[in-house]
Amino acid sequence: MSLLNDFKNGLWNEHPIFRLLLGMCPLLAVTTTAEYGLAMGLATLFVIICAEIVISLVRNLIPKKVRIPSFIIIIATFVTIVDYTMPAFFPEIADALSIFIPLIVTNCLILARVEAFASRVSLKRAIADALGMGIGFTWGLVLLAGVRELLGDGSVFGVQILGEGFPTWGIMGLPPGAYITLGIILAVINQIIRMRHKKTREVS
Amino acid sequence: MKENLRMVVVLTCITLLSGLILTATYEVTAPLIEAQQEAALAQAVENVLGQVTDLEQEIIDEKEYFLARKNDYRVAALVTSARGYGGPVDVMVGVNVSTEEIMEIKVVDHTETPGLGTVIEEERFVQHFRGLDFKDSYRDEVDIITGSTVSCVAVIRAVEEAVALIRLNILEEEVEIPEDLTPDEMREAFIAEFVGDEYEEFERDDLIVYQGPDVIALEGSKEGYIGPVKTILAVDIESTELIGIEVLDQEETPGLGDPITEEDFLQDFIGQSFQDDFRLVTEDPEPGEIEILSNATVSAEAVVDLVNHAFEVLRNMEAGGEF
Repeated sequence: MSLLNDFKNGLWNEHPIFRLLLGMCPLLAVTTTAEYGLAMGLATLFVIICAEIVISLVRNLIPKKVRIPSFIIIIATFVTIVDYTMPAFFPEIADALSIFIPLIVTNCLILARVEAFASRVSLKRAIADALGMGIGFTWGLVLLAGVRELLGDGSVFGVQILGEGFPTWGIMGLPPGAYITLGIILAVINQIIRMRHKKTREVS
Repeated sequence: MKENLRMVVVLTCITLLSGLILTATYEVTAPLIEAQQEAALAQAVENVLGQVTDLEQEIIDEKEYFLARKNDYRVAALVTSARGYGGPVDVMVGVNVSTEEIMEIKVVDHTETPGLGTVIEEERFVQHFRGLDFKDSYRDEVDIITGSTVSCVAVIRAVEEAVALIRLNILEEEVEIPEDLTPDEMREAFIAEFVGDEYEEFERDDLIVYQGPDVIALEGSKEGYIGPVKTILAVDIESTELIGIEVLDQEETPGLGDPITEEDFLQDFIGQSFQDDFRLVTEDPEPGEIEILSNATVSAEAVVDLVNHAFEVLRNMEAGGEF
């Protein structure tokens, strides 16, 4: 039960983007199309799973005083693996994400989960948390990127959805488009949560 | 002490392992990445030249040329770059060397504004270049698209450079390659040409003065449309005439403000005595007058203001008996 909770945590209650507001840098930079959002999400998912597994395994070996540098080295190792692998197999996506792949190292989502969670709990719980957080981050990126691509290009995942007559919103492809979309999504989600709270209060 | 040792051992082990894993990953992926890059380049060559035979690469002056045959024609492609709005715009230009025509161009890399500058990748812009003869300038041949002037002009400049390079290095014609000197190199060349080796350098009224035995050069900047326009001019002491002028640095809109750096505009300054200021007129300039360039009024004013300011300084220096 607790494993399921650890997993579900990242999907909604403590959603890394919409609840914790972590990882804003890649979020704003690479979410111009759903494909890039998904690629960034999967790259982060891979790193967070590997990092949480390794750190949970070695958590008792690492002295407290050097834990942060150790975590960073472990995270950076997996990020660099992604950085080498991506251009070898998906050169176009690697080109588009460019600098934001190495920057996953500094994504505070990963360090925060590793420090606050993986370094304190068993392997099973760490994996559940990493999956939840990684998938949560990915769906957040895909949602934001999907909205931006739909309004900015009329397509989602490169598939034309809105008709030729739709005047595409150029601003959606630019950084302000990311802020505007994120702001609106945050407002909607906060509203949903507030309404839910109200309901539970009325019921009780 | 024991704890310290443990920290050292643990960190060393972690970094060592990390290094090993990354070396292994690199060994595996490096050849794959290289293959991907080659495939991408081959694809880009195919995009501008189509199906070709006898494709070979040649490096001339550190630039890579792709030479090939297509039916009975010699064809070539190369990548050139020009400054766009968001950064460099890299364009691959494919030409038919035998008929001296542009076959196809493709923007291979850019960081232009999505939705505006990105039009340079689209057919409606690229199509203009197809089939054009080799020329020095394509400004009049290609429609510049509203909202993306700077990006479009960057592509045009890259194509002009590519054509010039092909003519120079493949056809072995004598053409001038549009070169981008840095402001410092231009200043050095200017002073060497007009003032000579011996001169005194000092500052006067926001201007830098290079005073030689026969010629004085003055350098300064005035605010243009986007940023400062830095100009240097040389005046002959004996005849009091302006003998040389050059715009060293400017950030004006490419294609609009930048004609102020060109010979056509600057030559009207030559020969004027520093006793009389210049005036800007809208048409038919007479001696002492400079014609306003349409779309570049502010940029042109910046140059004229600077020249007039320099003349004033020169008159003051003359009155003070400094030369």
